[in-house]
Amino acid sequence: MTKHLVIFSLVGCVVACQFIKHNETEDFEQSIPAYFPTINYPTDNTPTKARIALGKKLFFDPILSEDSTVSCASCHLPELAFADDEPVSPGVQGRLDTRNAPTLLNVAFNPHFFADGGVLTLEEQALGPIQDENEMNLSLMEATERLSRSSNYTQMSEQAYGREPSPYVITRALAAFQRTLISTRTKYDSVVDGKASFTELEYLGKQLFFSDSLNCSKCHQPPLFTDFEFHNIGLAEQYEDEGRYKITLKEEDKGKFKTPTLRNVLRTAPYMHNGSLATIEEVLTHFYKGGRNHRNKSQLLKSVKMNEQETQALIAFLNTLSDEK
Amino acid sequence: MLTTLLSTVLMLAWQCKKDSENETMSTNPEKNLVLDIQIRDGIEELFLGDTFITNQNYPISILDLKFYLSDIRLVSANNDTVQLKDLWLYDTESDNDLSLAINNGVYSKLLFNFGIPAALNHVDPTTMPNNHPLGAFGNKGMHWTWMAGYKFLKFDGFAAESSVDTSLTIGVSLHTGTDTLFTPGELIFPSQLTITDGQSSSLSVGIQMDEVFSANASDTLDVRQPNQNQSHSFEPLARKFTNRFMESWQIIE
Repeated sequence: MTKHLVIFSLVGCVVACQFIKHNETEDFEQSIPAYFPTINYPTDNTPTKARIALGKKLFFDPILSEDSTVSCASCHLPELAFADDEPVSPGVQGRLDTRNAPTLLNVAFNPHFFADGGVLTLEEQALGPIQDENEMNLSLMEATERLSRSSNYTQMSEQAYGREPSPYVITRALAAFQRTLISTRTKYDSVVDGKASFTELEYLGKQLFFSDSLNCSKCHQPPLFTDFEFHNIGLAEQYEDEGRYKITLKEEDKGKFKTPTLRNVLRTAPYMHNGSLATIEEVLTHFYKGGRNHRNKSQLLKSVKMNEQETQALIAFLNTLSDEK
Repeated sequence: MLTTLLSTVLMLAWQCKKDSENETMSTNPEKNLVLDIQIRDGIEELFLGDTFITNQNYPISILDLKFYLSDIRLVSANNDTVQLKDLWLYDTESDNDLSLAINNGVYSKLLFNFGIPAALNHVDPTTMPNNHPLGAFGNKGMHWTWMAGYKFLKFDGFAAESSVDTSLTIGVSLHTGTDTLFTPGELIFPSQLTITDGQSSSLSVGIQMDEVFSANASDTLDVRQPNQNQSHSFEPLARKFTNRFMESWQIIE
């Protein structure tokens, strides 16, 4: 993989274009294109430099794992668009869970978290990986005690939230930092902004992407290239992981998973909720075939014939969704 | 947003109710009733690490058993209701006697809800006081974490194929808890419970574990079957386990 080739700005990406809106709160300012949705900050966790700094430190610190070997960044690497290149990421002692690590770019806009959407806030989402026995496997009490023994963390916690380290502080700081991970520096954004134009191949790919024959854009809707909905794409005839059904208990939700963003998609292989498709070509082939039979499979999936040039065009267009190096 | 607002209102109401209760209790401040819940195998009380033989004649060990009860009430002979506890997390590992201050009276039954009310079930644990039963420390691993909400009932242990089998190799992990499993419960006293001045009383409730896993013509729970020993909230197994668990409660004389 192309590890270490791309370094993202960790505290937001400032885009110098005319369609800018600013999110300003206290001592923090973040600029995003006007055609992006608004970030709804929780009232108890508006961003400040102190909160973001604490969250960033926690994000990269393995202190939040049982044996202090795994940090959030172990599975969400900045150089891989805050995802990783494993089908399923190893946690403490190499234990494997069942799902592929998603990109964290643009999580600020997500209305729900995890592939089944079981958690509704970025703050509460952090409770999952920290305590999961296959990820970081640390109790919140132990996490709090560890941070409380550090004068640095105690001081940063007081500055950020006016209180000592606690589960409240940990989850809020991590969320505050993750909300700064915004993907806006792509060629696609430059084209939308009128400052660049697609190549012929990229343009063909864009036409295919938005066509009614492929239906890609029905779910991967710009500007975030997701509809935040749950779909069954016929990945299996029998799903081991039943996805959204675990949350809603509705039969029609079996095998449905959240539409992932396609921003930086070429940097986040392998693909699917379980990392079962290794390359973007495998993903496209899956969709060309219309997926496997499943009673809940989306009606949008249908078998199509595509030639090599069209495949390359789609990949070229998807590459325009990657942030600049 | 609506859920958050509703939760906040309910939490405030809960706090007010607590304050109000405290005022009521001040007229009778002495804790004069002990509510004792016992995990049992017949007449034997079970503790963490113990093994019991089910009515289907195979052993199960208890590694962990926790559950939430909410809105625990006593009902008097003339149908007045006395609130005992808003929310309680039973943990086999801890001392589970509840000492309560109850006004004098004659009581005929115990009412409770199994689980957590929907409006509280989806709070962020970090917004509660850490040691509250729903708080980050106080929930003792009962928060699902991968979804908003709490496990209502958590049983972990090991089972064997038969009573002559000494090695317990079948892992049992029955965790349940969704809003749909929130269930009212009622225990009618065999004889009325009378609380009078200066007299301490106790109310013992037994949960017959052997009966939870007993053969039942319509609804047998047999953890030796591969599809009946792992539950993560949503399968019909969760409802079956909840029902069987609640049916096994009885007042101990």
